[in-house]
Amino acid sequence: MKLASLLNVSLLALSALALSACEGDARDLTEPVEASRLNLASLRIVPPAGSNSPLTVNPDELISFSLEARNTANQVIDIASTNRRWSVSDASIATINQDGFFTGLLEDEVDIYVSIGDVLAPPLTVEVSFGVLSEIGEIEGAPQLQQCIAQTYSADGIFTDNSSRNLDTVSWSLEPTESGSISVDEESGAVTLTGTTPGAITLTATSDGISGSRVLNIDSSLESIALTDGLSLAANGALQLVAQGSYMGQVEAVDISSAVAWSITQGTDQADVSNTGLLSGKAEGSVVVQAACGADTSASATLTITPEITQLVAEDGTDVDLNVGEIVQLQIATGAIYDEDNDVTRFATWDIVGLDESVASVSNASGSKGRITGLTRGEVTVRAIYQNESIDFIIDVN
Amino acid sequence: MRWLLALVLTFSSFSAVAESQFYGELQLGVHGVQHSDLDFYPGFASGSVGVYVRPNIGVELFYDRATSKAREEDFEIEVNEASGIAARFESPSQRGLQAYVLLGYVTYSINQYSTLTSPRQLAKENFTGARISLGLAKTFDRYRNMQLVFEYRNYDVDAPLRVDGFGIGLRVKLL
Repeated sequence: MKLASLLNVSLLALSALALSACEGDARDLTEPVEASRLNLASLRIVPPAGSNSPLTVNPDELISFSLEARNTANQVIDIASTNRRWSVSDASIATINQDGFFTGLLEDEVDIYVSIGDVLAPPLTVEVSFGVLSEIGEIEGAPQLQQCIAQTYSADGIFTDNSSRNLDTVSWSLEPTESGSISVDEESGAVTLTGTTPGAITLTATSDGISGSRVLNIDSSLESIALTDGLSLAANGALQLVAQGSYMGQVEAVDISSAVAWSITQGTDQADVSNTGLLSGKAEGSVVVQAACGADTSASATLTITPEITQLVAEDGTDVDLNVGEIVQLQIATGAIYDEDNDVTRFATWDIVGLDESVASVSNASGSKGRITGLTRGEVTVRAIYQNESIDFIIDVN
Repeated sequence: MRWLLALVLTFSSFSAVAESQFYGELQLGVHGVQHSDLDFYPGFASGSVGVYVRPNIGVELFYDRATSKAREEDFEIEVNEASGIAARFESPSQRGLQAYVLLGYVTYSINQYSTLTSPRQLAKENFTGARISLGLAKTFDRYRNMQLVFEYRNYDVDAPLRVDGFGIGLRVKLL
């Protein structure tokens, strides 16, 4: 081989090595730091929602696991379940990738492991076994429902290998259909049932053409629904309405806003209401909104739709200086010039912009909305939002 | 396997260019190691030997060793060892000053100690990747075969980890 070509080959080989040979797992270094910062004390492997114990899966079935983490105060903390060092006791029986996706390969038991830094989760055993659904087993959930209070139900299947497994691909139906509504969680296969008409109902689960049913009872304990009357809303604003249900034998009213049927009985040109009670203004005027649970229990409220809000204004400007420990009340009003009659401080939503809440705090609690407290020296932005309009305050804590 | 291929080719080059000039270099420096929003600056010493296979083009082997650990929050880090092979590309000398680039392959290990536990807990991981260095070399007026070098190096791996460093050293052309 000629010298020149030999040199070229050497340099080419070096370049190829440099470009192609990246190896190493930095998680050995980053995870101890993460665990230290979170005061991580324990980990638990969480199987798919509704899973039975022992968890049984078919070969080739893909399921995902997640992590529950607790700190030294035994509080649950947010932690990513992906990009972790998941492993199984025998890779010939099953595999699991670094995002916690598990696939069975052969029929046998296998343990799943994961750790973050030096914190290890107790292993979770999975039985890989081939089975075909033979019948719907139990439909799990409360036998009795209160009107307009949602309950969750899930279905277990009995398989040909005698295992009992949670069914995550289920179609649900209700009979009589007008007695309630159902909402299916596509991931877990569970159903959320909201009963509206007192009496017996039949909930049916169907999977792979096999059905099973359970009779449930909706009681008549809902005595009344309350809506706040006399509220106002700008024509370009939105307002979340709250429906409070009073139940027999219960002192506290229950927020049933997401369960009732919302409608506008007067003034459909002035506003729209969503099925969760979010009222959106359209034009000046008044509207009557109704929240109903079944045919017999309902409440109405009249609201005023005011002219569009074009801007918010602060009482004393938006640059605020205060000392550490000092408390200052911020005030805002609608319009171009602050007018006490248009003050909306108590109706606005107040929050710190960004994640740094160490410089100052702002209250969003009823009775103290817009009250800021200097915590440490620095600058932070406080934002007030009222009916789709917002105003920012620059808070300088000295 | 990659090592073997590179070494065979390199030493083939050496034998084929027997008239070429060998050189050696010693450096002292500070690594920058960054991960998890932490910046560590541990010390290192580095030695390399190489041969110019063409004018201003060399091939060299290098070896680094930690000289000190660096601490951030509750952790201490050292780039324990690094070694590899690199190709050197130098500019022509201008008033005794040359710029150079090193492109190569590096394997290195990082030791990370947690100071929260007693005894301190060690996490050790090995990495391989590309070495990229940019440097300046100044030839001494009195000793024409010696150069003072200033170098920035980056050990690039496909991981959420950055390892680079600055070094100052002495290069000696041996033949």
